Amino acid sequence: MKNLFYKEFKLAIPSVFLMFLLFGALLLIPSWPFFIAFGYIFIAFMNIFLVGRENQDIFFTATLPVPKRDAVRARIYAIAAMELAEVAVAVPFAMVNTLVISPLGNQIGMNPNFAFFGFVLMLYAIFNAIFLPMFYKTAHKVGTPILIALAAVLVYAVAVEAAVHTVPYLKTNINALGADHLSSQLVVLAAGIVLFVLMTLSSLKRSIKNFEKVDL
Amino acid sequence: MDILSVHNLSKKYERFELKNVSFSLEHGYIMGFIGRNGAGKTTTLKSILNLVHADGGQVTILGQDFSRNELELKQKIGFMLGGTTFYPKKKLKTVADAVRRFYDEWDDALFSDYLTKFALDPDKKVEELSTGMQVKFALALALSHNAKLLILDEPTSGLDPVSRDEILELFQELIEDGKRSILFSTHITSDLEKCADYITYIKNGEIVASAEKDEFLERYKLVRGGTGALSGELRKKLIGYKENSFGFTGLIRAAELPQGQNLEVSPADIESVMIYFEKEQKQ
Repeated sequence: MKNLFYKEFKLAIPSVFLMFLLFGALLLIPSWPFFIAFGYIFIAFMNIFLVGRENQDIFFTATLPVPKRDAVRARIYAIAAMELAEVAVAVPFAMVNTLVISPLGNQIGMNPNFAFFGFVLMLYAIFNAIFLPMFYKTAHKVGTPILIALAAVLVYAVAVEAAVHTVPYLKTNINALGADHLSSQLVVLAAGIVLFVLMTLSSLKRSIKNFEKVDL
Repeated sequence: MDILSVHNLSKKYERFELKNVSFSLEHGYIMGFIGRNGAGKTTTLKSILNLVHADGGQVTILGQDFSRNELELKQKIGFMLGGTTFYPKKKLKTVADAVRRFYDEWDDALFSDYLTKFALDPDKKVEELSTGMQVKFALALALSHNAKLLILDEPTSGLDPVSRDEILELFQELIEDGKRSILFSTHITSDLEKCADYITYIKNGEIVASAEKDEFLERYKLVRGGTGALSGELRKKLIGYKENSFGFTGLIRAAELPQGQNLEVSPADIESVMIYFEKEQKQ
């Protein structure tokens, strides 16, 4: 696995795509729907899979002495690692935003509090659950799986934004800034972490199953 | 001992079928795998390595069942797919650095020896190499992890005659010590005349023949005759033939050569065997 991981980042994933993690800095901009900042990385993901196709990466990996399932595992772990890194990069910017730039909170979108990051993890969980197994059904078609996954992610993000602004409990507790409603927000964060892990692992399992059937 | 043995490999697609493909290759020999475009050469090679899931059949490499010992056996195999360039924008050294980690027997010193021998510059990008040099790079990678069996899909396609000759000579050099074997597919029959010890001929997904080269050629004869000589009986015996206003030329199994007829008989070459076999169905 270590070797495959090396191959992913040294050969398969162009390092320029790691720059997309810097989109986390968009959380410095006051008052806008912060979920958007976490969507830019999907452009990188789409390109990683397209570049892989151009470079015949799947075939290259298949000729190496590694199980097919490990090739899938390495790629999915790499994607998940980038998602987690995106969240990690965004956290300090979110803190600067709430503490320094807009202490009154986000006037348009959800506040970047603990619960927000839980929702972001769920957003990535949805993307992983839809895009990855669909891609590994063919191991070459990227367009349709990414469009469907992005549509689902968009619906989800709009629904969360709408909910935290309209549902009273969510508005007062989940969208709150400061330490007053920390416990309920931490529950959302914990749920986000759990869902991210479970859905990504289940997506990995389904992707492996799909990929095993593919004739290269 | 056989280094590779393929037994009844079959795979059904909607419009193509690999039918009970069987052949074997011993240590220290080169086998040419011929067939026209679309005959099933690449599908067979991919099925051998489990890249394509065969519906049935068994592949034994170095005495071990491939499906059960895939990873272990892949350590001993060098595989190259024709017309496929992996990571064209990467430098040779970057690709090699990723590849070497996967092989237990990778030898860095040997790899740099091969780079020197093949005049490959590790700082060049893969796409900067000519087709012939790309084949040499693939060979350098395979040889540096001490591959015993080289499975090469169309390694000579798209190469100029000089590079092709160089590659074929290299193949012979590689098997000299008797430790390695090469299975390579091609549709260039002169490749086989130059360097193959064995020939396996596939047509429409079925193996027509798999034999030692001379034995393969001795099985068939070319016959020529005037217009009157092409009797109904002879027509049935001919594998394939071409007619013109002066007469005909055809391929026949040596065992079925008619006696006492006014026919000009000459030894068959691989190209004629292939051409007349492929003409068979049209008649």
